[in-house]
Amino acid sequence: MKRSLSFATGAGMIGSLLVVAVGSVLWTPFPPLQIDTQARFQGPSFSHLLGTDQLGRDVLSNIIAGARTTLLAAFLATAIALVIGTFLGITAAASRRWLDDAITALATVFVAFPALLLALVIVAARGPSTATVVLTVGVAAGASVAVVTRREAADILHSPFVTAARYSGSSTWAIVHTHVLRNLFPSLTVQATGAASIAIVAESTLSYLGLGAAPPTPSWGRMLASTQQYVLVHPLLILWPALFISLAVVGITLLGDGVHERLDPTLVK
Amino acid sequence: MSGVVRRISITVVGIASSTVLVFVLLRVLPGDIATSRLGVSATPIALEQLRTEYGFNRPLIVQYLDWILDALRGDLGRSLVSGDEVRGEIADRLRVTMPLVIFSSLIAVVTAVAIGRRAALRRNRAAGIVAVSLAQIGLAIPTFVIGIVLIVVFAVQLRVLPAGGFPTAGWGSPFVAGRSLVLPVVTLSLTQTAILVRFARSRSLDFVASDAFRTARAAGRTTDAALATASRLVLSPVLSVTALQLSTLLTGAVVVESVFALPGLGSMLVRDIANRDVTKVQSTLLVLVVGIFVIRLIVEFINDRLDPRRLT
Amino acid sequence: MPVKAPSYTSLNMKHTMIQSVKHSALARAVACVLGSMGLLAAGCAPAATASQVTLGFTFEPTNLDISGTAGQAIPQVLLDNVYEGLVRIVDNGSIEPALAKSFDVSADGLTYTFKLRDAEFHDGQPLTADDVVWSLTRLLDDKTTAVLPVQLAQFAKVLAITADANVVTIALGERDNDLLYNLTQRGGVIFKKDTTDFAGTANGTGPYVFAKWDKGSSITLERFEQYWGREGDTKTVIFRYFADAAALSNAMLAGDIDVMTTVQSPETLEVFQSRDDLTVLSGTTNCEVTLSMNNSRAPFNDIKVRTAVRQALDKKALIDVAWAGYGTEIGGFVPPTDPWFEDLTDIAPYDESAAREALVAAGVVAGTPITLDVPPINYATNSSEFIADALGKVGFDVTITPVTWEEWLDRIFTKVDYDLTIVCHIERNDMAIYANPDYYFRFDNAEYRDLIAAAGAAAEPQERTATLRAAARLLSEQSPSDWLWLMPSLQVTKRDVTGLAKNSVGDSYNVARIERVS
Repeated sequence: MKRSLSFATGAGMIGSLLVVAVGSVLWTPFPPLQIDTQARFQGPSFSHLLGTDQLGRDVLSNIIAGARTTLLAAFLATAIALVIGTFLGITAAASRRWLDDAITALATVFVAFPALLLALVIVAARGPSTATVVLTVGVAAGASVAVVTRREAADILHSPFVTAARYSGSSTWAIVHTHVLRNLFPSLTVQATGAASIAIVAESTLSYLGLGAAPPTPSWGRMLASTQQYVLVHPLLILWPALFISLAVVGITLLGDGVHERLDPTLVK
Repeated sequence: MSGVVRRISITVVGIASSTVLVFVLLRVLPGDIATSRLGVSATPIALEQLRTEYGFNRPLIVQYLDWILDALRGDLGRSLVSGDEVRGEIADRLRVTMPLVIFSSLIAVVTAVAIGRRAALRRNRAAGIVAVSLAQIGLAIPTFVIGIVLIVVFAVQLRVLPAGGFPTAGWGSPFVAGRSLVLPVVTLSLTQTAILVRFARSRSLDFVASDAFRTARAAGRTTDAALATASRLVLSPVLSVTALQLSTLLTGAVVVESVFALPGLGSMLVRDIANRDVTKVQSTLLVLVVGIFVIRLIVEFINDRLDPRRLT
Repeated sequence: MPVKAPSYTSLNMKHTMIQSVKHSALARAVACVLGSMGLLAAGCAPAATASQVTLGFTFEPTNLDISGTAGQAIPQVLLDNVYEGLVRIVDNGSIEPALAKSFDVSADGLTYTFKLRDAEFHDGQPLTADDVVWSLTRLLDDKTTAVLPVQLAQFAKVLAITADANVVTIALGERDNDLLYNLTQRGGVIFKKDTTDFAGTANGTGPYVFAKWDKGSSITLERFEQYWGREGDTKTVIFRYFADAAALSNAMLAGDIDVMTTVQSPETLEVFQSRDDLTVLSGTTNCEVTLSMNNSRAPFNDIKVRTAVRQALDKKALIDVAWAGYGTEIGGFVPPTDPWFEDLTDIAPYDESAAREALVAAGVVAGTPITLDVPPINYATNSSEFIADALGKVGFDVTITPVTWEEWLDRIFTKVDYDLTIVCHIERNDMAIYANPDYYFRFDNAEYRDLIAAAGAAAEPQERTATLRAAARLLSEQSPSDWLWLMPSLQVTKRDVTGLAKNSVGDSYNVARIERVS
């Protein structure tokens, strides 16, 4: 079966980015924070493959080191979203009506509430940081995961095989473990990759509005935000981080599609 | 019908909890309208005096109830900073934000359904991949970067469209107003299209794989005609997603309005939060949240009609 | 004949009487004749002058209350354009009569008399001495919340304001050499007596009427046809506001606006300079970009540490990095345009190893953690990483914390909970802020306080200048802060726009002489 071209491509892209991100702990071409005021705004050259920025720092090194911040933020936000979302979703689906309604209402509030405005307020209170980004995106995405999960979990819980399992004496936890989580998996993968790409883009958007990672921590979003004032003079400085953000998002989406195609029985036939 | 009652009550509970969330969040901010108005000339005595004048020294529950009861009567209060009626200011800003959001959504829905259908039909063909990848760009590049690039190309280099802003005459000069919304609408719709395309495509795929489609094909209909009969079923989930995406859309509007210097609701909110104009911020958010909840409720009812299977 | 506006600086205030000449149509006619003789390029009224000019700014006012709301945005649009004071400051820094036809200062400096001219408010009412007394008396009530505390402080030495026919007298308890300047700023604005709505309307006497405000977008001023002096040159002047400096640059490049009143990313100047249809205008400001240190907190309570911080920073490189080389190194808190300026850059010159040794000697352990709070404005964000890096090289471990302006006002300015921060101190003649031990620098130096008090009470201008010069030197030697650079005033205009003030000498942005000859 030749099916998963998307899976292979996506896994390849994300895999290499992860290797780079992890490797950046050990090695970057230059120390990413090394300032050289004599070498500002240099174009690509053999020593600086992607050129240097407004402080004469090596752009490639910052892209590599920034991968760490950006991907870690995306990973943590996704993890938060999945934990909150699955827990609330399954609990709602498996509970009595009033608890179900309460959770649904709560989730709807967070889905309806524009996450960015939530972030604006939190940042105004706590100051800009990557943690704020992670938390805001995690909670907001968690709410939509919860809504979707509740619907799908309810379908599964009402399916004949679960009823059969229940009659054969399985505990609720066992049912959730063996049937619900397993059958939710394809949908959760899609949700997770969605949350991860939103997190990556959100990190840069929040940085643009002055709400993202604190300098000098290298991050793709902050590189975009801090170099946009030079876009007319040195457009390459905004191109590189934008390019890598796009690569990461496309990679994650392809990966999600690929996993979905592999796992979703209706597509495999 | 109990389903209707249940949905409406969830909406009401949702709105009520949102108001509490908004109110509490705004009360934990450092600094307040007093520090903001006095700036670097603030003295502790002057600050305290101003706070008393604004009524911030009253118990929180009194302040909350005051706000809610007034809002229920349609009185959204006055801006602490400008003294203007919040209701009027919101109406003013909606003249920019409404067209921005509506046009972007329309373009996004139409494009997404079209691309999604084609992409589904040519799942393994180059054209389908290209279509989806193009849509993907909208999701992969941050909105503000798209905006900046469009400005640099169309306003600064080609000089065919304004770099931003909105005419002082507003819709009184419709041509100028329309022109100044072209780039913002394109920017905002790109992201929305990307989100919707994915859903439209997967729904079309489901349909193509379904018995109904095969039956239609067998009955001699062309693929396109068969797909057209499915539009209703594809439109329904796309509408749901659009409703779900309302808050994302507003988030996008905040960014687009600040990139293009548009006097809309989003840029107003960002500024009011910075100015600690809490009365105005909480009332604006209230209007937004009520709007979002009501639209979603309406979409759900429409969807029940479009796709009766949902009711089971 | 065109008459040069008589000028009057606060420095040589003696027993002098000044007359100002109303010139409008006559002056224009003369300019026109000179123009036709090839002596003047512009100014000929009958030439096609655009009826509208659009100016781009970054900070929009939040309301119109010029005396009760802080910040530069309100005076920028209203002061001198819509509202006027008895006197005003012009581009070269001198003070000239405005609503006062003439004024007189007694020899002991305790009595100021102003003879009012015939002027009209925009609502048609005449200006009376009662209006002046009422407006200025608002500043004497130290319990009021309607006036900013800083202005109450500025007028603290005023005992009473009285009127007799069209002569207004201000009586002081002690000499105040800053009074005239303060009268040119927002505190000196004259309202119609019994005005109650300051936030929503602006009824002034200036050459422009406040016509329309599209919140979040622009303010429109229309020429006041009954103005007492030379009317505004352009009929409609629009102040357009951009939340983002990049959006302002783009609007200028796209031709959406005629003037970009501030350049927040000087790196982009080369783009403007390369365009034939645009002109870059550069001048001076009073804005000293300051690295403030919390003098009440270890280790910055030690003068050796503060000096070491200054020595660790290569200002020239910093100015290149943060402001594309457009700033001026000053070494102190006085701009070169003040008479008491002297070059103090040799007091704590850049010397990295000296700084490192001084820190060791002062007992600062290598890796001592400190925080640099950075407000969201380009001069601060652009320099923060350079400063953190430089201080890191001499033994500090600097954490950069981005803060919003609200947090800055609340935590840093009011509660004085900070180590280091960067902010531009824009007020003119503001050396006195270091004489206030409660100010957020928490700099407490009796000798400096005495010098500032002596300068304020000095009877002779030379004495005042000498005292302030000594104070400036003492201040720099004490290093309560570091002064990174003096901000230039950079503007970009369309080529055919004339009449802009090159320098930023006060809070106002005077538009009366701006026109576009097309």
